[in-house]
Amino acid sequence: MSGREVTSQRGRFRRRIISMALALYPRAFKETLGADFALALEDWMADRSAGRFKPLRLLWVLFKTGALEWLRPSAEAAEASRGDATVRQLAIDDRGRKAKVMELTLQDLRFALRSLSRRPGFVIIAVATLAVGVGANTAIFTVVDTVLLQPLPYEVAEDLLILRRVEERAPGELRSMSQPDIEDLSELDSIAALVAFDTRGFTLTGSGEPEVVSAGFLNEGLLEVFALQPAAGRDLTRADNLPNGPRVIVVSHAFWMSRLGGREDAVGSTLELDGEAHEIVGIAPEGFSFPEDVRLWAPLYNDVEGCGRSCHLLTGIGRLSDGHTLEEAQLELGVAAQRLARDYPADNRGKSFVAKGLRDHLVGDARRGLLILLGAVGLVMLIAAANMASLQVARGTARKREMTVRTFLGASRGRLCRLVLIEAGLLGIVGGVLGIGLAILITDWIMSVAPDGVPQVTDLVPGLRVFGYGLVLSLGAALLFSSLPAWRLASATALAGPRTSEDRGDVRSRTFLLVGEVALSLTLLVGAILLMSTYSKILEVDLGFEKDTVLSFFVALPDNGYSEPEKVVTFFERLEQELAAVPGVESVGGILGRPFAGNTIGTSWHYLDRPRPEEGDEPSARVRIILPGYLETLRIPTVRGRALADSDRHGGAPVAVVNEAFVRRFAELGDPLQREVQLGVDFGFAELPRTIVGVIGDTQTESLTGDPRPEIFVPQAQMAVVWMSVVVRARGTNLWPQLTDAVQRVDPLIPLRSRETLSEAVDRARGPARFYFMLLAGFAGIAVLLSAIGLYGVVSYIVARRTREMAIRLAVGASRWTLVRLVFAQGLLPVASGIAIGLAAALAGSRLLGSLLYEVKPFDPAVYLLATVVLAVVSMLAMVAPAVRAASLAPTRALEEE
Amino acid sequence: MSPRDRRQPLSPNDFHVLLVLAEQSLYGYALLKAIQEESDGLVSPDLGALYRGLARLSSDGLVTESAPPDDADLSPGRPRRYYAITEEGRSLLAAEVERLGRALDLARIRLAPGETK
Repeated sequence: MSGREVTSQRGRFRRRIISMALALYPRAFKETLGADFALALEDWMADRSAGRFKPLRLLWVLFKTGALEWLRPSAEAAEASRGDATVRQLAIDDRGRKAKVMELTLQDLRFALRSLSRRPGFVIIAVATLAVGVGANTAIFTVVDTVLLQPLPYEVAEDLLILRRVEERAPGELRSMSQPDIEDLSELDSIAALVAFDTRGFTLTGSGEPEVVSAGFLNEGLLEVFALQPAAGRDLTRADNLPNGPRVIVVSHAFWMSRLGGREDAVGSTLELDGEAHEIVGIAPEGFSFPEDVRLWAPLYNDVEGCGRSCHLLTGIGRLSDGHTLEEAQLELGVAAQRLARDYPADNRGKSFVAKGLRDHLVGDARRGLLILLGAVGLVMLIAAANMASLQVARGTARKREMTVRTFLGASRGRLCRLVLIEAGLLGIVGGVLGIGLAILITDWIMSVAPDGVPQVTDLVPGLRVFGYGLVLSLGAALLFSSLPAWRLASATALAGPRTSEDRGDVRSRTFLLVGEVALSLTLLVGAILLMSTYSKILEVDLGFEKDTVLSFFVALPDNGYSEPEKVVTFFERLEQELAAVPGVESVGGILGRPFAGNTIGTSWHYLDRPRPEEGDEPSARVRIILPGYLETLRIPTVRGRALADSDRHGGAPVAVVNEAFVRRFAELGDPLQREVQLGVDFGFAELPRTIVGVIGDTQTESLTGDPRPEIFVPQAQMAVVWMSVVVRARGTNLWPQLTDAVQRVDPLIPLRSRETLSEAVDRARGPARFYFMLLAGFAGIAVLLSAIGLYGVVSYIVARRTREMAIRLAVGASRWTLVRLVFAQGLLPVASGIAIGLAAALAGSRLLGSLLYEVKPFDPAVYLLATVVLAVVSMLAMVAPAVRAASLAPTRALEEE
Repeated sequence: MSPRDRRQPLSPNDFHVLLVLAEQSLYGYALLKAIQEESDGLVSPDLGALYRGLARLSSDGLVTESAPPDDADLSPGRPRRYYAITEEGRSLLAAEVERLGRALDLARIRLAPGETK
């Protein structure tokens, strides 16, 4: 994300906070000066010279101003006080009634504040507990709200669908579509509009250094699908998408504003893209961008005749017709797939189509992970609330004497209850506000660590309902879990005296809460350890190549100047030479289909020494087109035969090598070495039969956790593709300027796209596993900590309550060690029961993690053992301090104090 | 009781608001910056205090909303509201300055070196 985007995001965020706070101000202020006050605050926030801690100061100013405005006598009352005497009296009477209610409440409030301020320890623990629970929950709710709940920013969002292809032989895999298929399917009744799209970079030249602009390529207008009108000019049409058709583009509103200065005459002007002038025919409406953040749209110019139904490079985006459902569309697609298979058996046999709602498509696998996280923070909240309840019970016991005195002085049970609830409410509000602050920090952090697989997480803006959620959660937890203690407190006051059977009841209820906390913590801990093992297994995955100090960038040659395959081959040869000459570079290679780059090409193939299978039944494999230095650069071993070499050129014997997965997968067809194959792909040069000359090691290329795919490697000099990921092994990774210069020396109009080191690419692929592991581990850590605090509280309480008994025991000759054992025994029983219940809950719950786990069984006994040990050790530690207190008891003093 | 009687002596905030507006009308944040500048940073209300002050001053008829001056920097975004001093505000400011002047004279006399009473 660029600095400017972050700033504008912060700006939006602040605006929202300001407007939410102003909504709570008295109406008189809101209506007269509110809007202008908000603007001034924004000015202040935007002023770089306005000092530090601005966000905190902003919150303070908002709070203080609002509070003072509420306390200000109303204008009418003020007017009355200086006007006619009767009016003044009336106003005073009215205010008197209101004031009485207000005064009683204020009195309770003041009292609650005073009484809380006498117990700072209790307040800090209670507020911190609530804040942690609320913070974690609000942060995850922000993510869930943004990703799963909030409607997509399109009016017809619910009707939008994404169309993919499924092959009979791999039903779980969603694949790209061909343009003719998409165009045929756009005629279905249930689909109002359907467009084929692909995303690529356009190289913008003609104004300084070449720049890559992300663009959507379409077979017709996209705005029609989203039921939108262009802001100016027109949308693309099917007529634009002709081979050698007009070079036209539609630009995004943001691009028009930032790059074209919002000029009125932008429509009709031209931009130089990939070295060719393109006419701007339209401007998209403000805020519209699809897919992702493309900035312009252009026709595909697909050669339908030449490539046809076997070219699966596109995705369909469509809109359901009015009154039709996704299920109806899916049924119609099924029928259409059968018809197409009948009409075009060579390309469409075994092919079917799947329509998914746009949101489902965008959210994908992230849904399960996010819901698990939401469940996890829910457990954290329960633990926090249990702690809160436990604290209230303890405090209730301590206050029994005070409450008894109050009852004797005439306070009603209702008033006492109200007092306790007001206290809880205050704690709830403070905990909630702090929790929301914490949530903002956590959300910020989530944005920085979120992997690519979770959509929209880079644009999290906690909104009013998220804050509402946090505050309601905090207040709700505080009030709910205080109401029972409050009631017991108020009813217990009839029984005077400091020590009654009630105390035992308190110990029982606190122990009960503790068992629950321990059980919940253990469940979370098991989940966290399962994800941790998954992540460590993923770190251990053998990639099959050496990723360190390999730099990579993507190069795409434009049609203009590279229409002949020889020129393409020459470009890459010269590029290899220039790059190899850069000081610090050890080896240079290239590949179309680099590990974790996402651009893979599949091909059908067959051995020429076997009868050719029927069309549609041919085996398929990934085809990787390489500059031979690739194998050396990534240190991929040759297992048998030979590797590809620079001498494998166009005009020489066509060759290929395959990986070990290929040998395994097609073992029943015999050993591939020295056999001739025919591939079904065709790039720059016409494809001829190739001899397989070697077998190389497997690499994890498309995912970290999947089995390696069967792959066929062919030399670029015999293929001449215009796209390639160049890989460079170098000493150190700070060579980008030199590499850029080297590319510019070959062709100054070619930009380096998608620069990254292979280490970064692998790290990105590990992102989702790391993300879920880190979050769940964090929440489990919080859970264990909260339980430990709870345990500490309960055991300390027991020690304090039994001081007299312990002192007597000591006095009559018991050893100090006996007392220590006594204390631990008090804590161990609830901990052990909690662990037992927690193990059962974890066994039931860990199955939910399912697809998030890799090479770890949800019922792995070692995981459960580890979780038990961790929790037991932490519990013992939590009991050390009370045990030491008991052991160091001075019997005579303790008895005197009692 | 006229506003003047109730308002005098003016609080430092109100005084500086009127003092700045006596020269030119300004929008909220610019007003704050001008007050800080003219008081050498000694008077530096937060925006909340400034706006609560503005609310009081305008309900007393000392300050009013005005059209942006011709040379205002109309930067993009939502239009800011400009504040101007009223005639009543101006005369109150003058009265306050007079009061302060008298107090200042008195202070000078009493604090002059070598003179005691």
